[in-house]
Amino acid sequence: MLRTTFGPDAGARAAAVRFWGFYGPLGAWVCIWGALAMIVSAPFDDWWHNAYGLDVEILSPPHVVLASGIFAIGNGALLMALARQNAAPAGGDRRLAWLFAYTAGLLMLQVATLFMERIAFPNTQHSPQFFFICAVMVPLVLIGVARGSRSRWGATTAAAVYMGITLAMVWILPLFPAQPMLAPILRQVDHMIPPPFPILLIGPAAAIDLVLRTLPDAAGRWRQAFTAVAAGIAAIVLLAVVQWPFADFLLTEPARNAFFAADQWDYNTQPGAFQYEFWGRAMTPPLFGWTAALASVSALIGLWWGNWMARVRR
Amino acid sequence: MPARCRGGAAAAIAAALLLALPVALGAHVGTSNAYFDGAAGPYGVRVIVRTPGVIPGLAQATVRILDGDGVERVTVRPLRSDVGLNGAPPPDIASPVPGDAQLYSAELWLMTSGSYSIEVAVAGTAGEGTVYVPVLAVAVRQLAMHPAIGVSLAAAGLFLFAGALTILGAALRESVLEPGVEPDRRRRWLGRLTMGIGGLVLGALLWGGWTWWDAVDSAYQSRLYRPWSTSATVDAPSGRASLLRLAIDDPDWGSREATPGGALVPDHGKLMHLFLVRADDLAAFAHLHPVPDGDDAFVTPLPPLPAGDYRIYADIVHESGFAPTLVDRVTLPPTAPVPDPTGPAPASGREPAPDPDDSWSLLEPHGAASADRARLPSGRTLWWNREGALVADRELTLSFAVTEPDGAPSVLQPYMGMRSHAAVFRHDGSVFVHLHPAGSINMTAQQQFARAAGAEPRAMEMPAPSDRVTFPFVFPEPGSWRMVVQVRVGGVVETGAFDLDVHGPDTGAG
Repeated sequence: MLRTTFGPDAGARAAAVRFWGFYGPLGAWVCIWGALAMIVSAPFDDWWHNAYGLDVEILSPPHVVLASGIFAIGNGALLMALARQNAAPAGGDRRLAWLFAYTAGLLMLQVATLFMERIAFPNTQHSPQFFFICAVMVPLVLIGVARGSRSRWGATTAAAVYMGITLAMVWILPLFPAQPMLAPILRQVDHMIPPPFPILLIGPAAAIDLVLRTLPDAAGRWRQAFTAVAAGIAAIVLLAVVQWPFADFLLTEPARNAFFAADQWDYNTQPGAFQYEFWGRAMTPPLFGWTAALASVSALIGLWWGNWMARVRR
Repeated sequence: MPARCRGGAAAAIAAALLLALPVALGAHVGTSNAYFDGAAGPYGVRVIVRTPGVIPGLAQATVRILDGDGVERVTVRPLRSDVGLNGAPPPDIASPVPGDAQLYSAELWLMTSGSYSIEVAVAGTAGEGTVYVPVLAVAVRQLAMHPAIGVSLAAAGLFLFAGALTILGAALRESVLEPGVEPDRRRRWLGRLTMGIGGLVLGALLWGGWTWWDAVDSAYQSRLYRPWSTSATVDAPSGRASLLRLAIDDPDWGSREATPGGALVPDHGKLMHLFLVRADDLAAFAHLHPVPDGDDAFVTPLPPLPAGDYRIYADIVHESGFAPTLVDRVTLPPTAPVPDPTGPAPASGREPAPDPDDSWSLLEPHGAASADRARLPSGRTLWWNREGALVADRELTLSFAVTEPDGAPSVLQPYMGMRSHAAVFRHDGSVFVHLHPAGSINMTAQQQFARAAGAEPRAMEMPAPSDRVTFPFVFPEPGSWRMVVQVRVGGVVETGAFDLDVHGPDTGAG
């Protein structure tokens, strides 16, 4: 920023955006904002711990400030990859498209981590909460990525990155020995505990890529909107069709192995029958209607975001 | 990775916690710190556990070697009552405190609410010894936000808010333009419009966050530990002793969750130790031992205390070791007939007789008691060997001696199995600690923890004859305090009071 603002390179300033008199790439400003948000979250979180006790849940107000910073840094990286991708000639360096899809995959992973307590456990995956959160997040991120990417498989690649990294954790972390260090230790654990098996997003992501591929370059707004809504609903329908029986499977005996890791629970979770039961109430047909409505709105926002990303130059 | 304990897991854990909670709250109000003087095998130790006040939180444990040489290693670890050694982490090594060769210190995470014992193990040339110090991990306080932190966070939040809007405006205004192209009028307006809409959306998100914070705060308030609610009444039948009746009218009382330990067990031979302190001037004090009156009440004859508004602190212990202090107030009538402990038994079998260990005394009013000596009704003197100024949060040995009217050392006799009982309380009644020479912990709970850990519980030792008594203590906060010390000499329980000014740790006093 300082070099762009105060240096002699007028070309660099011409390729930057302005922020309170300073010049720099948009992605860099977003990264700086994210870093500041993360710094601000530290004293807030420290006060929170002193006032209310250490918050062991992921979602708490100071953690949301921290997560905003982390998201901003991920988004900033995404924007910087985008600016380079979009500035390159069409059909140019394919690595830039991959870089964009990879950072988008990381963004998907961050979303999944933030909402892990609500959607990652198979026990939640018949619940309205699971479908509502997925309907809000999945079309938005994946349609945005698909529209912003020059790859024909942008959303699929991002979903594969999310699933690949999560699977790597599922398969690799348990290989490392570990010992609980805080009482009460409610179950004996001698290795690192991985996150739950990833949500099978690759199918819905492929559906988004395939549906959006039907759009001609010169499609009008209404056609784009209609196609995006169709893609979003298709993704959610496919997610329900695939994840519903898969969650059933993950709660059964055959899933309790090193591949699916459905028997991996951390040391401060009291063993009990709840491990292999669905939690809370299950979806009902009217709630699927609401899910489709949420997915439609999410798809439209994703479309708008993706179209903008496809044009980012700075 | 984050804990896998959500949803249904949370219900199971909550149920486990309810079962785990009721063991061994030391007899105190306003603080859950634990103090213990005793033996860990061949070593004499003083263990002080400063509880965090919030859960999960970091407790500070210090171990002072009072007796025994050649200590090579001191370790501590928390054992939660329901899982014990099976659910215990590896011990933490307590580090020697620089500048104090006998003091070791460690920090312990208390991750869940409930009852713990801190296992203290000492190893050295004299061998190894272990002792268990009961501690209750409960949320008892909430920290207000310091204005400076509040202003700093608000300023940082405003900066981030403005920064986010600026980035949004820049994103729509110029990020999609080819290098060198200046935004036209439409783009500039688009940027402003985005900032406006973004401001509304961010504002709504902040409002949502604020509402969420309020909800978290309310939920936390409702989880703060509170003793069971009670109601106290005085029954003054004509011609007979007035009776004090303390009824536990809390809806949770008697429920399985509240009292998994079931029946009450005696502590120092009594089912309840009830302290009465006159509220306005602290000039009257009684230590009584009510007996059960049905399943949810206790009753005791009242001694001849002067009329007034009294604070009540009543200690009970369940079979599980859960030892809460019930807190209430009562107004005593102007004339309370004198019960005669040696007189005939009451006509009604339901009417309790005074307990032979009941004691009461009129004391100097608050502010008038000496800081280092108390004249006792018998003419004896209770001396406090002060070590200097009293400073909050500092480990202290409160040391007393009793002399006969002629100045000769008195011989202290056991009073309910202890060399002394003491009550330490802030003058406003907000903090109250029932203290013994062995500290503030509950002996019954300690024995149960030792038994659960496979150790042989130490039998209660009768104190050797002496004219002196000491108490380990840490004043949890500065302010105006009173300490009431009770000893038995020549078959008579004597009560002396001291008024204390406890300084803040940062005033440099002492």
